[in-house]
Amino acid sequence: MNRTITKELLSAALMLGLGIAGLIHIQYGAWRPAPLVPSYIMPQTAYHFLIGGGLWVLTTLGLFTLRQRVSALERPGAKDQDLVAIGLSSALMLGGAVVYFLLVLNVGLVVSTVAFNAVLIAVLAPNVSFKGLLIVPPLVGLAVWLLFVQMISVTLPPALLF
Amino acid sequence: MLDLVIEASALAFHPYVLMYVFLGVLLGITLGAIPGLSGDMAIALLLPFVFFLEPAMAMGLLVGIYKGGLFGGSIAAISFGVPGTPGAAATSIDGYQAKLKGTPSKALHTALYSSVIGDTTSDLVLIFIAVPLAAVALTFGPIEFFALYAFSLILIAALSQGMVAKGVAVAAIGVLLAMIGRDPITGASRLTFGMPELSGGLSLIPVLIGIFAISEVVIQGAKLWRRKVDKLMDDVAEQASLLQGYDISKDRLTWAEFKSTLKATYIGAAVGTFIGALPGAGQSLAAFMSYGLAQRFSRRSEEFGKGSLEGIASAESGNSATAGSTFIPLFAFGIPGSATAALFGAAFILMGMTPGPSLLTDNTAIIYALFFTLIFANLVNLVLGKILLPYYSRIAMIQPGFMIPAVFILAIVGTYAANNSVVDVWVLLFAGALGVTLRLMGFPLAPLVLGFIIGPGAERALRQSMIMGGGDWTVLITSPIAIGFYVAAFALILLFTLALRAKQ
Repeated sequence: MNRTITKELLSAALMLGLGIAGLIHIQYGAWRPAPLVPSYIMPQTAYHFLIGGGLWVLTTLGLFTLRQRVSALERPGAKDQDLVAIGLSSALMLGGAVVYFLLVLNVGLVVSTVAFNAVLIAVLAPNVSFKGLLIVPPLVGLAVWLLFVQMISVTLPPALLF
Repeated sequence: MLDLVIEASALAFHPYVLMYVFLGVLLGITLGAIPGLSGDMAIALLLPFVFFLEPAMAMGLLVGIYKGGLFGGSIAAISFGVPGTPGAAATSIDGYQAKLKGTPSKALHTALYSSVIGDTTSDLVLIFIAVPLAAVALTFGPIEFFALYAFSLILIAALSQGMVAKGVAVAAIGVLLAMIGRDPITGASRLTFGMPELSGGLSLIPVLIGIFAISEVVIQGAKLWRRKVDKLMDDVAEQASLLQGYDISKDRLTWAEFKSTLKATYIGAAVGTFIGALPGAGQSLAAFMSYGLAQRFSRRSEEFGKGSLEGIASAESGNSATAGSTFIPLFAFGIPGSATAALFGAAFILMGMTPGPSLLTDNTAIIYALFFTLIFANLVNLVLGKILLPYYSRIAMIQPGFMIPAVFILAIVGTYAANNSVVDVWVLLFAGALGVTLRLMGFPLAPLVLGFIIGPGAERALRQSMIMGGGDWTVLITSPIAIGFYVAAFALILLFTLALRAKQ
């Protein structure tokens, strides 16, 4: 299946899934009654727009597929994303951020920052030199210490290290 | 009035405020010049620091970054053909050709002057229009306000990258995120799914930083990993070799050449100011429309696309002329018409000022000081640009591989520091993951942020209107002003759809 069609189908599924799940939640969830206007009126309106948007995407996709002009659905200048690279980057950065922040709370802000920065540079930066890897992370650690500890006195629990 | 001007001048021209403007412009140009980083990302990252600065200083810093970022985007566009920001894409058409022809200095100077002229025009329009419009908005009731919110949401959804269905859907997601927390009327928890930490709602800072900065940084990280930057750097080295034997004394912008670009600059200034005031239309559309119109009215239209200075001037002026007018809906009605205006709106909220018609009446001195700062920042941009232009192209060579991890860490610690809240960090990462997913599926992000910011106001206006009408939906179309907004929204969408089709 064409990449554009897959993307559009996934988008429509997301919109319809969210919209329908939301309406079911409104129907069967425990919503506190309010006089004249229920408190779910705005979420309900948003769910209707989501479902409408999903149906619109499906209709457009159907029409363009029939006319064999699916490429017209792609945004001008849009490039295909490398899903493997984005998966790796998301896992490393977003997953790493969870570990990093837990380390900040337990080990210490500066030590964790230097370590996490070094890992990110080592994995992500192309042509990284050993010198760069030794110099940049401590500089970032210093900048974070100056900005957050010295300038705005961020409150952190007592940690094991610095 | 004179007292007010004196008070605002004292605030705007305080040495510390001036220092922050200089710092902001430098930072904005530096980040704008590096492909992948932008002024908006820098503003999002600096939001947590707004808490710790005086309002005038914070505004000076943010305005400086914004203005510097607008011009900074054209440096990479002209030097390497890689737009530093989306708004600079039109500048790269002629800018890069001019560089290949051996006249990068002329191209960069043309971009600088037209950017400053466009930006200043737009700021003046903002100053003279926002105050009377805000006075009109003070007479609005809930029905008119709901129509205005709907007008903005429909327009930003429809005009964001030309994807109406996805724009509408993502705006709805933004509204839903804003609904998390306590119902303002009954006080009951909504959409918290049993998590008491969410009862207070999602904070503005983690959502904005997550959606704008984190998602962008993750995507840039992916590009780095695929060693695309290697190719870019190789291209840069190859292009640099083209300029061996380059003589800067033969590449000075003459007065006659500057004069020849003025018509294109004015066209860009007018188009950019108009487009900037419309919610959702954006810098990119303004730049391309200005470029197209300038080409149509030029005596040397055949030179467009081949390094024309008029082409650079119109695109850059159109791009920069959105800078002031994008704040008109924010100041007059409390509606951020662009991602940048949303970030400034968030900064106002963090400083205890509510965007909207009462912003001007409740904080008159600060807002007038901001007007002075907007104009002053253009002068700083001009002066710093003129002095440092020879060095700016090197800024664009800074390796994103070192910058992106640092930006990511600053975003995490900055979000935590704003409220000392661990929950905010988890919200930030969730918003970042949501942003990445939406970007991958081709959803525009600006409508989501607009929906998130104006969601509570729109809900209040809707519920008040419905209570006034006894629960009847038709109450929403009983006001002529409200009907005017709905008709204007559909007319503008139709106009832009036809204009875009004609362009294609």
